[in-house]
Amino acid sequence: MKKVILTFALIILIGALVVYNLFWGQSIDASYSLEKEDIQNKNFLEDKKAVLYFSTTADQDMDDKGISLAVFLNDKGEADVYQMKGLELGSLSVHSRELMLTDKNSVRLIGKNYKEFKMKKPQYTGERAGYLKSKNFHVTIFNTGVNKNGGYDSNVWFGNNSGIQTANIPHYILASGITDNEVLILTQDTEQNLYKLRNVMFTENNVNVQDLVTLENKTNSEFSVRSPIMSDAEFYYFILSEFVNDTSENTILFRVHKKTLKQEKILLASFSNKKHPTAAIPYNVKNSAHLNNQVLYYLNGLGEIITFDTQTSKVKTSFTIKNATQDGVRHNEEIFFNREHVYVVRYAEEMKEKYFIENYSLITGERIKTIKINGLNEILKSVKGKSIYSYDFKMLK
Amino acid sequence: MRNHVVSTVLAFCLAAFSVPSAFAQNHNLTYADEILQMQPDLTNEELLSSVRSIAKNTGDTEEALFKQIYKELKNDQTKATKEKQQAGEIGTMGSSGGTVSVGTSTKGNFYYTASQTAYLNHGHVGMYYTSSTIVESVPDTGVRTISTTLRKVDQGDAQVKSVTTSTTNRENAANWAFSRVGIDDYSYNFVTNRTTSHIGDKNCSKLIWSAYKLNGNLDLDVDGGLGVYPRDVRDAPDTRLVRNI
Repeated sequence: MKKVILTFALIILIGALVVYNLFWGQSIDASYSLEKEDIQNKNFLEDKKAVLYFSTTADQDMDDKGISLAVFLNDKGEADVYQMKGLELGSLSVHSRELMLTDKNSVRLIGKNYKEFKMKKPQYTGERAGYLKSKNFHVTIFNTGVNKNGGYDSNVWFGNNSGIQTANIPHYILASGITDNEVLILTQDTEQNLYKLRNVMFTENNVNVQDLVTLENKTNSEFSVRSPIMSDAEFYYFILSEFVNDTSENTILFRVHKKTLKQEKILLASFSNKKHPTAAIPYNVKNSAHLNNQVLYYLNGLGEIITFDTQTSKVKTSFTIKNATQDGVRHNEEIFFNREHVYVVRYAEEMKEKYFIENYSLITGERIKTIKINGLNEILKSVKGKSIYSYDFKMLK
Repeated sequence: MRNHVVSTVLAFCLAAFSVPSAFAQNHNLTYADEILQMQPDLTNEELLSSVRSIAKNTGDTEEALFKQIYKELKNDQTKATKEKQQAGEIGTMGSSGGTVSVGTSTKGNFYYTASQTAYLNHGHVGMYYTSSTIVESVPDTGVRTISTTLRKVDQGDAQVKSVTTSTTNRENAANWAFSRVGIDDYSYNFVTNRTTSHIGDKNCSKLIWSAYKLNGNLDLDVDGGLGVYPRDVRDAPDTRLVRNI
């Protein structure tokens, strides 16, 4: 009798564990998982070609079990994953073979000298990360939220191997950009519908925010972000979407002269689609545009590379990436610009390995190469009970 | 020794079985136990205190209230399971079904998505404060704003809906929701959130429900009762589909 009970109990136990794992388990397939010792290795990044960042959204952190993933693609085209705590809209910063990974509680610097910093106050939503060359440190900005005094907080963590400082930008940030020398933000006062371009200046352990210009908005239009903020020697550039109605929008390039602060509004495209109103939104608005050799390149959600010649102000659709979807439905597509190249993470349902990277020449529009990402689909499929979204992608070599 | 092994295994099985509440069939458990298993972030004290307070105000018995709460939770769970099956999703989301930005819409409209937690799929709702800014209540942060472009949801079961009332009510409701940003923390209590104060900790569905209750006296809850869940707001009669996401 005891044997029967024991057998029955074991069957129930195994069944329960299988069901739990199938529906709620969050364990990543062990064959793809990286341990802390792996990323601590000083040679870890040596054979890594690219890194992608995924996270659950803040509303899924109900049980403190939100997760984020850094997926590394090695030279052989195989993906491995390092799991962290969640950070909606988290992003990556790369400089000189050093990678900064951020989750809600900590900063990890991966490269020759691994360092990990536990932060006192958790963050739940990211804004942007990048490397500020002029200061020799990484910067990561968060969308922290309204504080108890009614003001808005966008907390900042910045630093390098020597340590991480914390500071606060007292504004809600609509768009941002980190150039070699500057951290630029476009802040939005949602009640007043006011948009201001500002510059974030770093001191040793704090930040100062300098106002540059308030956007002229005679029609009181409402704007959404479509690109990072970029700059060249003379101008600041950023792309916003102007709300027309629930299914129509105008894509507008704003250009602000650095010295005179004169503003220009350049219409890049108008988009209207009752069935798929979000189709023109880029795969990732934080990485959707790039300045190279006096040309601004913008990759919209329809796969079109729209160019703006900064010398002649001529706008044209330069080329279209192959087989771009037109319905706004995404499968973790991502964008990375580098000089005269754009790298796009793509998805094809019909392929065995669903995910791959395409490299296009910005000059000729030609697809130069395709890199398979073996294992990414399996990694993402192994996340159960949570919805996970891609938020950043960087080529490492 | 054998007895010990048998009882240890049995004890472990009971414990293991009590975790995934969706499959709990142990009728010996009280309604309160079942509710807490289905809502593990809700504390026993919070549940008991809430039920006692409602019982005192309404004259209903605590047993009847627990039964009512349990029924509402089960209904929501059944709806979630049915919708998930219809969508053809088993366990995994976001990896192959596709994702979409919620996109712009008119102030006062709201979006719904089948948000997963480790325990129950209650769904999630957020309101358009402006055409491009969502105001919503999320764990840890509480009531917050986020760009409609940056807010991603799973494609297929997400929707944008409008509320059938005057533009003034819609705008006032959105303004009221926005006024709670940074003030109201998150509450894990879905089960009696219709009976709690409009001011104070709240979850996503309570934020929208309160916004329209206070601005237009609309009851955006398809089945009434003690708790208003995201699907209750989505399916409320005074709402109209703007678009599927």
